[in-house]
Amino acid sequence: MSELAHPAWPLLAGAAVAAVAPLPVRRLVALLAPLVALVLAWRLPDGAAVGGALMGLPLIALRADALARVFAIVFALAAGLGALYGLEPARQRLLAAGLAAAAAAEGIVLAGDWVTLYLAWETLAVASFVLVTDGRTARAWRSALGYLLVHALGGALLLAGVVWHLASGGDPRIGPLALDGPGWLVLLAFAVNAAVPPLHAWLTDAYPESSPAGTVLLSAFATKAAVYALLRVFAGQEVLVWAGTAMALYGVVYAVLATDIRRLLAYHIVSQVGYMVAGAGIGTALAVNGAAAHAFCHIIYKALLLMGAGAVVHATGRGRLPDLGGLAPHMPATLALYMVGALSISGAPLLNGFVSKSLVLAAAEATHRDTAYWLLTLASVGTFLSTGLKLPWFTFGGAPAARPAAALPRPMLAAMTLAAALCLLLGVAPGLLYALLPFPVAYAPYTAGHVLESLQILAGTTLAFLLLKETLHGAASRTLDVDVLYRAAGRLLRDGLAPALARVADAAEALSYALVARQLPAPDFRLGVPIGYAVLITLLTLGLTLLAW
Amino acid sequence: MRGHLPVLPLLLTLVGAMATPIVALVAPRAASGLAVGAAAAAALAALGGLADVLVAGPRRYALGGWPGPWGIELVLDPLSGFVGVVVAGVGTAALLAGAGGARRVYGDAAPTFHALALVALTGYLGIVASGDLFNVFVFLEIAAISSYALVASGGGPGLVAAFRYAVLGTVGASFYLLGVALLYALTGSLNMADLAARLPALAQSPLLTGGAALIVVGLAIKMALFPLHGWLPDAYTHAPSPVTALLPAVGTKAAAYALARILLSVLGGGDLPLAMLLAWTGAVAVVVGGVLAARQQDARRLLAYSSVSQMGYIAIGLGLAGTSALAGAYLHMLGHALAKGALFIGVGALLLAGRRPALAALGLGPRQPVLGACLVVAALSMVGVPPALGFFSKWYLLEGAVAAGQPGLVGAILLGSLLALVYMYRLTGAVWFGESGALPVAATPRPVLAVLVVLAVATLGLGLVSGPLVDRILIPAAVLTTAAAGP
Amino acid sequence: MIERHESVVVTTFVRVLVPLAQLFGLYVLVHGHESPGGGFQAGVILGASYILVALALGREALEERVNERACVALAAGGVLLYVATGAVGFAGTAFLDYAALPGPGSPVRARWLGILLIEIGVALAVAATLVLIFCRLAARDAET
Repeated sequence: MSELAHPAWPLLAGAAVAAVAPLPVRRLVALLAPLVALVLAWRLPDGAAVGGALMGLPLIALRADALARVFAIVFALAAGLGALYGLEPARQRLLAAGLAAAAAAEGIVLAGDWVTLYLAWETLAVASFVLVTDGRTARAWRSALGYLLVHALGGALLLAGVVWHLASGGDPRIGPLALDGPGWLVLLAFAVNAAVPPLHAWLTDAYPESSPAGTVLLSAFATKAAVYALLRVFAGQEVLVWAGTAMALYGVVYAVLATDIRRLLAYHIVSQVGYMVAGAGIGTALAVNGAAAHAFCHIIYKALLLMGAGAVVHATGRGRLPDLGGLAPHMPATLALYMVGALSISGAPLLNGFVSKSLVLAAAEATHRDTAYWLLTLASVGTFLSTGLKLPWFTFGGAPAARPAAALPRPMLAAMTLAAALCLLLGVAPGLLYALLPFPVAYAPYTAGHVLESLQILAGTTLAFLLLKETLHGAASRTLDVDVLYRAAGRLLRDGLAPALARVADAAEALSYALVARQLPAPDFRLGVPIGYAVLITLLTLGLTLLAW
Repeated sequence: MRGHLPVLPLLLTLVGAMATPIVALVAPRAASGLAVGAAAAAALAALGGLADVLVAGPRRYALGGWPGPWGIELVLDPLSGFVGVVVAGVGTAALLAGAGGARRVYGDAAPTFHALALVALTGYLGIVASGDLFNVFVFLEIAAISSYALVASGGGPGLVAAFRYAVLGTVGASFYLLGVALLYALTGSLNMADLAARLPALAQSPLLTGGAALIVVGLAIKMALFPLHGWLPDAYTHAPSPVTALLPAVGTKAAAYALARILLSVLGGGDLPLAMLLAWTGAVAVVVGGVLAARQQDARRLLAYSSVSQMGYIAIGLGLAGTSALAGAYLHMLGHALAKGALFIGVGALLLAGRRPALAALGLGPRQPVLGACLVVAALSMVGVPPALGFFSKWYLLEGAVAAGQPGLVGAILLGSLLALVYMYRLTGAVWFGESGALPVAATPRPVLAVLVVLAVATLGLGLVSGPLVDRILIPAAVLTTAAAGP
Repeated sequence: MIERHESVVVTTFVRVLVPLAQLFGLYVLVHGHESPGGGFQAGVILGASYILVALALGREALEERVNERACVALAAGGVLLYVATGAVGFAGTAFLDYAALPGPGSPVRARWLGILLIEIGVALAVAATLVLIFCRLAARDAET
């Protein structure tokens, strides 16, 4: 199998062209590149292509099997959806960074060796950073820096783990790892990208700050690539079940409290990824199938949801629930398409969420993890509450507070329609999805029991919402999340440690002037390091070196 | 001529240094061209030397035909060839980029700058080529004195900075000389290979201990290893732009080479507690340098503290003294020379175009995209993002640290990357998006842009071919450094 | 501004001394490898002789005798002479191998000649540099 069949190539080429080409060419490339990548991903045969070596280690840039293929396909789809959504105004930065991120994500899932994985991982971090800055506000830049720093930390953990693994004679090919020293480092690195709390603040902080199309593209890659990595390397590790369950609930709780519509949806990403992480932790064939299927469907319906929210932001210029309301008569198509996504994420029958989320729940049930099962079901309730009821009610319904400034660009509507159609298609014909999954699927989603259960949850949540809706209409407030801790730590470092070091240097300078240079006048300008201090340090070092020899 | 390759690079720069003032008397405009040409010729000779070593193996060159251990020998082996190419190549680039700036800063005295810069390059190349301890001292001083003059050449705070540099540098050189004298008293020999053979038998002698400690501390001062770095921030902040294009990129590398050669090959210090002390000092340098760099408001001072941090990486590699770690340290010499050279050249160009060095006033934004892009590439190398060269040197250092079972050093290396991300982000952000004020902006001169592009391309390109580079040049260099050298 | 010295004793003595000093400097140069001396020492003596002229007879006297541009050329040229002499060794075994010098018969005589040549170069460089430093310092002093 030739390395040229890697779906990342057309995406990379597209990114390069989009960075420099004029508008019509950009538009063409933005749609064409993901399409070519999709075809390549669909037709990838099983097997590996070894190409080249780096630092004495073989590079296996392309290793395909069913698990990798399903992710490769959905990443190409997501790139296409996001590019279509952003086709107007087709900004260079958006398209180039978005396609590059897609290429990096393809690189991650199709990587056969650790070095390739690491290189693609870092590339994804950089490309996503650029995507966050597409928001073009000062807040966007600040969030982007935080994003970059956290992902750099994750990258550093991954690098340390990989180097340790390789140096202790580990297999350079990607495969399951035990939870020893290198394993923990790699797991932490994956956890950072998967936005496992408390390492999730980069996601909820940065995703809402990007442009509407930027958020759509951002949501597709980083977390799902991490999910793939967890499935590939740490499937069956018990700790992931609990991490995933906790994630699912954490995200939902904060989503219920959130007031910015895109931040609300970002917390939902954390929540839904929790299902996937839990599935990876359970590790059975059904669970892995469930996690992969859930990732596939989640990318599509989350893109749809973010497209809807992004459309609202684009049209009204506002993103916070207290500032929105009464948009239904002005944006009916958006509302309808958004609701398709909302019902999908809540697991309503006939839509793709129903066929995928239930796989994970069934896996939990099958392995007798009842606590996890009920907690995940509880999370479903919260999901429908915030995404399917609270957000649309206060955005599209209620008292009018905002009017859309202009009609939505046609590509935006087209992208949303396409995504909604996919949700519906996979919902009514789940066999299409199940055929892509790594293990054979013996699960039948459309049983009376499952449908009834889902409808019960939806109905019950709707009732609860109608009773509680005034309480949920958030006033202007900020929920405290762990990013407060990060900011405090950063401030401590910048304003505490560095000036403390400088104060030590100043004190030493004063001392040395008192001891050594009393006779000389101090120089006119204060330069950084005084001579007396330096000579004293030198003599000390000499002594230390003598001792150490 | 092939047999004389060890001595050619430093001779070419020396001849260039002396010919430049003479030519400047009759044709001042031609002087800078002559200077750059001499440096380029030296770089070619260094390259030829490295190629020769790879084909024919290491060689020793006896000056005056007097063989060692009585004669003064020059050594050409993979390490000295490699560092020679780094010094001469990046030095040429720096001179080319600084030529235009020299005319603006010095006016009619520009040929003097070129002559001094070439003398400094002669010193560095001589350090790299020497196989004799006292010869290293001579060239160390040649380089140092010309550096003091170069730093002082801008006047103002540069004068005081140069004075402090001179005091501390002379202290360092004196320590080194004392150390050499003690070794000479002990063994009667100054030849590196000879000493390497004799010293193991004398390992318990207090003269050896004292001499070794003095040598190491002296070279550490020259290398600006924390906490002996006191001269560096002021010198690099207040020197004129053409000077900062050259000195930060190559100066400390030559001293680091000398430390590597003498500590590891001659003194056999790879196994001692001193080596671990060196590695841990390097780790502290990485972190402290990075933290201090992150809070600077002056772009050049930021880069100066960044140099302190990066030299820490090299010290970690030298201290670990394993094959991977040494390969990483040597590769880092190349990577840092390229990246730091590009950064200082870029910032210098901005200063000459009328910007002030404060980060808040450095912005040129999208008006100078090539300059900005080259700075971003250099920043990526400093942070260690693949495929820039900095990533690969970091990888090898990490491999070395893991192989030596030192998680603290691993943590320091990675923390250094994160700190580099913070301060490089500040710098590139200031250049790309900072305030540009109301002043009109002069375009960056063509030669400067050309040099920046070459350095940026080299950073990326050499990163991509770093595998063969390491396998064929640096691993043999690392092995040779730690193996006992025969007579 | 360095004035001519008031005392007639000094000026006369210096006028007699300087040529003798320079002669002695040349002697020291040539006899460097057989007695204390050599290029550096000779250069210092030669340079000092010019400085003495300036100190005793005033700056104009120095300026009549010394051309700054020539000093620069001599300083650089001295080093170039050294390198050129050493480069002859490329025909032999190595740089600075004076045995390859053409002319006198045995290698020992050739090496003697080579060392003499490099010492001349060194003396020129040192003398010219000393004088140049003095002139520059004196010029700065005159400006302030």
